Order: sequence, then structure tokens, then C-alpha cells
Amino acid sequence: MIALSGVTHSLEVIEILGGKASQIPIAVTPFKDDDKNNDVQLMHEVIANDLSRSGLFSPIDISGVSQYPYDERDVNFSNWSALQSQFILLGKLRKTAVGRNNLQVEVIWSLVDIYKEKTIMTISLKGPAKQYRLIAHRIADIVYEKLTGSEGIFQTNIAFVKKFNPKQYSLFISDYDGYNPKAILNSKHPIISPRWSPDGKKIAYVSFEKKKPVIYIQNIETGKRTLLANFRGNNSAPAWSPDSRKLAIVLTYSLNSQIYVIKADGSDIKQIMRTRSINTEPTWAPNGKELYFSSDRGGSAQIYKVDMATNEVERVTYEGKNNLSPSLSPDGKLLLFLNQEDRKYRVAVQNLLSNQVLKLTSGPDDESPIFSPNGHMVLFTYKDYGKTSKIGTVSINGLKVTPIDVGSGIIMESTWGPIKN
Amino acid sequence: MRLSWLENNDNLQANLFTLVIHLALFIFMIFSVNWNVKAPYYAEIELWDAVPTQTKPKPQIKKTKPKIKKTAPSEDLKKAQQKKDADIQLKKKKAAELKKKKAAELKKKKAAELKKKKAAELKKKKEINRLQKQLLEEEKLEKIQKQLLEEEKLEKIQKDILAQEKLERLQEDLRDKDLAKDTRIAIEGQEDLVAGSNSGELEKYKALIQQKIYQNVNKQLCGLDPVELTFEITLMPTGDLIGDAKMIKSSKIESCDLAVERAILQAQPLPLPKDNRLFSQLKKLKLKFQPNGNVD
Repeated sequence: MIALSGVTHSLEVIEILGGKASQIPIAVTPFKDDDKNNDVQLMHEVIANDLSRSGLFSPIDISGVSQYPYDERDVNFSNWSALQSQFILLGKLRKTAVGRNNLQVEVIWSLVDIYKEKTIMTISLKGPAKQYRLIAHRIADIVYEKLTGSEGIFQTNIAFVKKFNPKQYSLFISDYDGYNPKAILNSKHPIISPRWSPDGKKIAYVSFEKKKPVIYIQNIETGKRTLLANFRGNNSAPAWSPDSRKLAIVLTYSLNSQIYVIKADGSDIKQIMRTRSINTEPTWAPNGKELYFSSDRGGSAQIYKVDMATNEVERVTYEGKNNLSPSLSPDGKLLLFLNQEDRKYRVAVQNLLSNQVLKLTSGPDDESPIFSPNGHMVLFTYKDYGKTSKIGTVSINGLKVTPIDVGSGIIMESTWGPIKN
Repeated sequence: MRLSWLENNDNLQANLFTLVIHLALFIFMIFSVNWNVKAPYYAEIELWDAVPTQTKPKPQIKKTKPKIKKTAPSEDLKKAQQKKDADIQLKKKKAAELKKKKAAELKKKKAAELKKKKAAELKKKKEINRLQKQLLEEEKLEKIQKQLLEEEKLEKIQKDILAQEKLERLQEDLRDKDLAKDTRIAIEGQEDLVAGSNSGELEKYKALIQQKIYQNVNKQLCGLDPVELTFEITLMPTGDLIGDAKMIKSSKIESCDLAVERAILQAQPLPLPKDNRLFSQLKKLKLKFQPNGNVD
């Protein structure tokens, strides 16, 4: 034996190429002294829903567990390991009265690694009781970032249009999961294509209040609106530049839909490309130098990109009958679009390095796909039972589709706000 | 009343009855017609000769006679005609009814045919559905069979392992019996032979270990760019790790490094051969990961 171990063996090497797209099993247990009050969900439920919606986690079923740990020292590793859980998130809550009517919430929570049998982090968060859900989202964001390496988006907002009847439309903003909706614009005329400025301060949208589509920019905080584009013909499809200073828009000023770039104050408009074919639905590459857009120049609707300095155009999508409504992930590596095949409109994502296409949804009437600010999720509209338009999210691994409940009615034209600083 | 009576009677009987009556009436009609023809003749003459002075009791009688006779047959005729008309109407009615009946029957027939057709179609549909189901089931079966086959393969591998174990035990037994030196040498020679022929066996275990770890690599946590990581592990004969998985080369993405480390930990116990010589070759391993495909 001694002789054997003395021999200097070169180590056997095992190469593991590739991997799977799986979900991290995590136990999110009820926090001590957490009670319902006015909230529909408890804190651990909000967190579990957030993690689940991302498609990267699968919160394990904890209904059969008789006793939950509230402190990292109370974790029975073998039990949780037996439940196939890789991590456990636990905590305790304390509500204290501050002043006369202000209730404060304090949460002390821990993320524990079951395999390594050690605590990854223990953090205390405080805030007013009315920010109960926000605190939960914050915890989910921290866990998400720690375990996936990407910023979480659970504290972000979305915007959407609700159609109450053919003469009543409202532009809403809400939490990313549909909670706390607030109308920022009511109109007798349709509102479409809302787009959040990357700095988070404004929303550009198309309104039909002038009997034709024109583009407005509205300050979210003050509610003040400015008319960005009311040129001859239709004014549509606003898209903010990454620095929030300019917008790409589409005008039918000359014969058909063409792309223009205009400063956010409505000055300095210039046309990008001059072709006979339709160029529409522009979206900026994160580098701010290229625009991706859809065009019928090849016979069918496909997605192209144009270098704005040279006007050089390159076709990007090839799969499927028609591809439209492009948008790019924040790192510029993934292209999100609507893919039409077999009379079905589905949300698809194309890896721009490998050009591999993954269809995320099953359709058949999906619309307006847009990335979450971290590029891990997609917000889109779909037809509920083939009828009413609703909104939902799908994870970019396609593993998790979750509706967003913002009440009854027709919900459409959704968009995702940026991560707040 | 009569009509209804007729209606209620048997067709043949009614027809015969009407035929007889008709014949009788017809014969009667001929006679009466003769009278009829004659009567106006006389009457005309009498009318032209009608002078108040003339007494015409005879012709009057004659006149009245045929008149009576005339009226009698005419009334009968009328009745007959009526009856005839009624009969014709009845016949017409009957014909119409027959027609209706036939039409209804035809309709019924058509409906029945349609029903049959529909039933046939439904049957067809059901058959198609059934076939599809069958197909699906066959597919399922195929899947199951495939799985079974794979399981069989695994079983075979396990059997091989068992056989190996048996051999080892046999050899151990032989050794225990402390046989003569030369036999021991012979056995050792045999053992070497076994180990030598076991390079395939080594590869098999490497493949098994590779598979088990690969299952757990969550490449989503490694971004999109090609990355490479290397770990070194030391194993107990049970397949569990001794100490930590030691990272030699990082992907420079923390979540990726941790995900790969978890994949290794999760794969415990790793499949290892019972053969000590083989095990010693796999006791310490270098694991090279490329979660997003080839780096170069």
C-alpha cells in the first residue's frame, strides 16, 4: 500500500461538458410572529412567490413540516436535506409602534446552506409596516443576487393599460407582481406602447386623443405631460435610448412607417435609413449605437439591426414565418421577440452568440414581450382562454409562466420599469 | 256518415261496392237518357201546340212522367256524381296521403341514413381517437421500454459490479486458504490480468461519475459566455467526499462556482468500484467543468 501511494499518479480527470437548466430547491419557512393583518400574503409567501416566479428557484413544499426553525442555530440539516432542499430561508418578525400611529416592522432573517451546513447570511431589515411587501421583495432580491449572481427585480414596477370600456382607458403603474396599482393617466382614447425611461423618471406612450396616434412623455412623479411627436401622419413606437436622452420613434411622415431618432425634448429629429420597405418597432442595443427593428424588406416581417453611424443593416432572425417586436437583454446577448409560426404568436428568445432560439410561451396570441431589467424574466400579454387580454411573466429558461393579477378587465400594453437606485 | 263509413271499410270491399253501384247507375243512366232525349221532344211539340183550348192531360202525364223519371235519375246521377266526386276526392286524398306517406317515409329513410352516416362518422372519429390514443400509448410504451432498457443496462452494470465482487471474494477466499506460494503467484498474475483488462471498467466508472455530477450542474447560474472551472475531490470508498471540493480554477462568476460546487456535493455518494485497485485510481479526481460548452 505504501509503495502504491508513493507512486506519483497523474490524477484521473473527468470532464463535465454542459449542464442543465434546473431550479434551486429552497425552503422558505414562516417567520416567527408574522401574522396576516391586512395583507393577503405573509412575508415568507411573498418571498417564495418572488423566487418561484424567477424560474430559477423551486420553493419546496413545507406544509408537512411540524416545526419551523426561526434561528439559524435551530436548523436540522439532515431533515431539510431529506426534503431535497439546498437552502433554507428563515426569520423572525418584530412590530414596534413608533410615535402615535406608525407601526414599524423589523425582520431578522438568515439564508442557510443545507449541503455545507453553514449560514450564508443573517440580515436585519427595518421599515414602516405599510412597506411590508416591499421588505419581503427586498429580502427576495438579496437572496436572488447571492445565489444567482444577478440583481433581483422584485422591487421594480411595471406599467400597463387597462381598458374599462371602449371609451375608458387608464395607464397604471404597480409593483412588478401587480400589487399596489395606481392610475397615472385616464383617457377616453386608447393608450398604447408605454415605455419607461431607463432613468425611471418618465414614461413615453402613444395616445389617440388627437384623433390619430401621437407620442407623449409623462413625468411619473409630477404627472406633467409634454407632447414629443405630433408630426404629419402617425407617430408611434417610442423607444428610449439607454441614456434616457433620446428616443427612437416611428413616423408615417413620408409614404410608410420609417424610423426616426428625436431628442427627449422634441428637438433635433433625424431619419435613420431611407428605404421603400416598412421599418418599425425600433429598440436600442445597450451600447446605444445600434437599433434593432422589424421590417418587411425580405418579404416577411423579420428583425434586423442597423448601425446608426454607418446605416449598415444586418438581418438577425431567420427562424419562423414572421418575427417582430424586438427588445434586447441588458447585456445585449439575448434578443427577445414575437415569433409567428403556424398561426401562433409566441414569445421567443434568441441567443445572439449562438443564434439558438428558445420559444418561451405556447401562444397563440401573445404580445408585447419585454425583458425584466435584469434580463432573467419577460413580461408579456396573452389572451386568457383565447379572449380577454391579460399580462404575465415567463422566466427566460421557459420553466415558469406566472399570470399577474391586476383585477378584471382587459389588461394590455405592459412594460417593465428599471431597477431603482 | 256514408263517407266515414266507407272510409272505415276495407278498401277492396269499398271498391267493389262502388263498382257495382256505378255499373247499375250507368245502365240506369242510359235508359234515363233515352227518356230524357224523348221527353224534351214531346214537350217541345206540346209547348208549340200549347193552346188553352187543348186539353193535354195525357201529354202532361207523359210529360210529368218523364219529368219524374228524369228528375229521379238526375238526382241519382247527382248523387252518383257526388259520390263519384267524393270517391275521386277520396282517391285523391288517399293518393295525396300515400304521397305524403311516401314522402314521410323517404324523409324518415333519409333521416335514418343521415343518422347512420353520422353514427358512422362518429364511429370513425372514435376510431381515429382510439388509434391516436393507441399511438400515444405505444409512444409511452416505447418510452417506458427505452427506460427499461436503460435500467437493464444499469442492471447489467450492477451485475458486472457484483460479478467483480464475487471474483474478489473468490480470490480472497483463495488467499485465505493460504495456498502454496506458486499458486499465489499464479493468482496474483491472474489479478494483474484482471486489472489490466479493467481499463474499460475504469472508463465505465468515470462515465458513471460524470453522469451523476452532470445531472446537477445548473448552467443557468454561469451566464452565457463559455467558462471553465476545475475542482479536485478526494473520495471515501462509500463514494462520499473527504473534506470539501477544492476549487483549483474559478469561473470568475461566484454563483457559477457555487452552483458547480453544489452539483458535486449533491452527487454524493458517487458510484465507485468495489475493486480496491480500481478505487485507488478514482480515489482522487480532477473534475473539469465547461457548463456553457467548449471554451475553445
